[in-house]
Amino acid sequence: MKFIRFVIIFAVLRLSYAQISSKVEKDSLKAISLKEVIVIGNSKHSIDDRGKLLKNIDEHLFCSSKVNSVRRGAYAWEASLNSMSSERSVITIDGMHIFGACTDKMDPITSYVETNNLSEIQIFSGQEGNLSGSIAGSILLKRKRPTFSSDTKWESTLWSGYESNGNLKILTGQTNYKSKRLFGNISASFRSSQPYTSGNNKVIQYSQFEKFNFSSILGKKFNNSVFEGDIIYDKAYNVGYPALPMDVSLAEAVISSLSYSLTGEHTWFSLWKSKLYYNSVFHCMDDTARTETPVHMDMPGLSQTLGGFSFINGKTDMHLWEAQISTYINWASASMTMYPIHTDEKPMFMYTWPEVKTQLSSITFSDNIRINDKNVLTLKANIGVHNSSVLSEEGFNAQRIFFPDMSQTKTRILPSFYTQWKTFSQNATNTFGIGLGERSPSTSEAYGYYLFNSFDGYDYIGNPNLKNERSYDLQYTFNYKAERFQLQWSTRYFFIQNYIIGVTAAENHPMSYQAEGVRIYKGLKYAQIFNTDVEFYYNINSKLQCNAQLKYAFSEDYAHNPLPLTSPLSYHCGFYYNNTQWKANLTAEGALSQQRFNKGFGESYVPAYTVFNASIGYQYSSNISLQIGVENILNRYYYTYSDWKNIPRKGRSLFINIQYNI
Amino acid sequence: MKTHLIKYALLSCFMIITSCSKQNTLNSNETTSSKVVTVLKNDLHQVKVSSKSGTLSTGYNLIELEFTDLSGNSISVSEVSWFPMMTMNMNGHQHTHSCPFSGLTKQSKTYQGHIIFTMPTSDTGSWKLTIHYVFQGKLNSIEGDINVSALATNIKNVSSKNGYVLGLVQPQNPKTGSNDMIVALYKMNMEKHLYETVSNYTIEIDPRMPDPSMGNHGSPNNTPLVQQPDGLYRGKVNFTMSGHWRINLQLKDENKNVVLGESVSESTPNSSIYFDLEF
Repeated sequence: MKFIRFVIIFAVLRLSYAQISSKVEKDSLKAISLKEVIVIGNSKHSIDDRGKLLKNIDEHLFCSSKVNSVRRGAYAWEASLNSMSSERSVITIDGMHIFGACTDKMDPITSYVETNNLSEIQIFSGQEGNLSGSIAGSILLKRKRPTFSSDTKWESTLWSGYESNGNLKILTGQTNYKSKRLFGNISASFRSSQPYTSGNNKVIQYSQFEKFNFSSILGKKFNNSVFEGDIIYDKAYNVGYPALPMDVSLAEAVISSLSYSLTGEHTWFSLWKSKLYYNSVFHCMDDTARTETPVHMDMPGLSQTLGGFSFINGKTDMHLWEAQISTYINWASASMTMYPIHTDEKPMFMYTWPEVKTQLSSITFSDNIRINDKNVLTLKANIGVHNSSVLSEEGFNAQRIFFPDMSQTKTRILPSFYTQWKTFSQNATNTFGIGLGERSPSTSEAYGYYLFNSFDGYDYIGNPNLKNERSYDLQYTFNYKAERFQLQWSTRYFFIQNYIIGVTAAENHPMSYQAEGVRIYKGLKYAQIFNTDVEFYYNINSKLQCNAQLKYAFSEDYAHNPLPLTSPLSYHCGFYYNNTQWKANLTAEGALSQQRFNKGFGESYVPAYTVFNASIGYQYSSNISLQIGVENILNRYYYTYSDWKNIPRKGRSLFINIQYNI
Repeated sequence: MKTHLIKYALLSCFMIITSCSKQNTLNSNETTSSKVVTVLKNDLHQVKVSSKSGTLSTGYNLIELEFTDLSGNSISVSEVSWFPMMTMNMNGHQHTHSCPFSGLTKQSKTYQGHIIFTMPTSDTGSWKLTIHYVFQGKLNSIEGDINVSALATNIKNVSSKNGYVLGLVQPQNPKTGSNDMIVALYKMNMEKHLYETVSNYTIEIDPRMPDPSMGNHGSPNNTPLVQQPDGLYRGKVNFTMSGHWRINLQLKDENKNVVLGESVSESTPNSSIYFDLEF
């Protein structure tokens, strides 16, 4: 049935493509996709460019009204898109799939890249991202790359930053080479922080980190084709996670790709790009610094992904279309070795991810159809074949204790469909979107084994027999733009069937010494999630601008219990001053108290808070810019609903950032 | 000393009778690719005592006996029985006792049976195996010392209390996951001074990890052991991870009344009968 639906949509796409006749301005279709883009780096006068010059990726992501960060410490925040945990969204880097190697989500993909690896982050909600296996949406990280230029150029930039709280030091440098037929970029960065201090002047132990990142990209142009190689090496070590019972001694990733693209000038397509990629993530948890731990354990994890895709796109007067095939194979393995207190006993061992091999192959189509000057219709379809198998016999046998009838291999079909109608009027744009998508359970949800969740205090057991989670999403966005005023109101509603969540299995004993019980993943009948945010900008004069953002989320399962990690009403507002040399801002952010929370997940009442930040930047010359500022000016003690175990956030911190263009 | 000898002789006779009449076959169906443990001799014949590992150790041992003449030619014997006996020397007092053992069944060339040694050979005690057989119509016997080695620390595959002896037959090589569990259950018949198979009981199992770091947690979905036609008790034991596991045991009679052993709880970290395994 699903397949038939898919064929029909495909047929419609082809038909509409064949009926192109009207002549409209060539680039008019360019700006029609409703996507959220976070521009990273020196985007002049960009409202996203609020706060610090040297933000980390998490801070950039948090600028989006659709993303919240789940924090377990000062490092590697988990991006929660549309109030949903990271299993429900797909994050790619230039189309590459990467999967963290930590069973406890201590290494989201965003922790393996640095701000200077990226040029922008695109955020799509629901099925708009058109990626197999996402429910909440997708976060597309775009690599920074120089462009070809007619004259040969070397450009180098150095950044340096310091933050008083935690003694954070940042040093980053990059060199670009541009020429007519060759470009190259090398960048390196280093961040190091000691434990930070919360608003009550208490040092948050185990919140230190150190991170080194190196990346390089090289492109060579032949007539109308480009060959590109890309590598990122990222290594974090001595990373503390104050909200968890363990730290990380090493988190290392190599992310590499080769791609070939062909520009179809004066032909039926615009761009045909193919990419082959491989990445490997190694993650090693470490509890040796924790004195309270009665049992010492090693928890290494390895996740490797080999993949490739090829897409082709083109445009005509009426259409902006793209087709893609893609596949990847991921091997994820993690284990736990525990050293008993009775030292004459043998160490204890278990696979926490039993060498799971996952393959996802998908085929994707999208078309933006310009019906007339005022109406644009977007159709997207994607169908994926998902296959997962347990390679470790030992791990399989262990899991079969819980699921005697489980099979070692499982295949799932993951469809995704999305339709959007966008209608323009004088100053306003109304966008309606509707989507249907499914996702397979994540490696942890399907095969995780005694994964301790320190928030709710339960050991989690994956359930290989879970059904796909299916989501129906409705989206509406209203944009209004006047001369000095801009408003965007966006609402996303998700109705999710087989909503996957851990359900207490009282008959089972927990393994972890801190755990209260065992939870096994189950699919709830359904759950609903509603997100809305409104944002406005107002230009007071040519140099002074103000903005305000409000966001709110509501969620419940079929029995009207709130789902975990749902944001209360939160806000962000600020004043921004810009002239040619000076830049200044004063911002406030905060949230109302969280009254509605999921107690079973370990959540509790979160008090309201407001923090103030300010900064001043000065461009000394075309080469040197300087910025100083202070975050959490009033040294407020606070935590948010998404701070793991209510771990407090940073207290007051002074920062200084310098940028030097060579 | 004399009384012991008399008792011994009586028991031996009894054994010959029982093993002939009952044809006890309390053996699991494993084949022994045997290695010789020892060779016991008398003036005419010898018996090759073999086990899978080439050693005997505390707990359940599947043993093969092969009869030959002194030059190694097979001889045909019948009515074979055996009797293991421990002699302990405690502060100058000698004390003897036996242990649970099965009858012997004839294989193609050998006789097979099992013995559950309740303790290892030590400075204060030694095991002697006596074998009776009929050769050309004449009752003969062979006896000799056998060495029963101790198990590694943290391994306990025989558990006894109130006259009951439980010997762990399987798993011999436990692994993470679901393991077939086989137990031989005997009870001392005080009148006959012999261990006899207990029938129609249920053996409840509760595997736990007793290391203090593990909070004595257990594993789910274990299957209690019930008796099979071969007399042994079979069920399934689940080990969620490797390490030191204690399988707490509880005996229930046919009316499901607890006969021996306790349920594990906060105040009772283990039953009074249990096996210890480590892998």
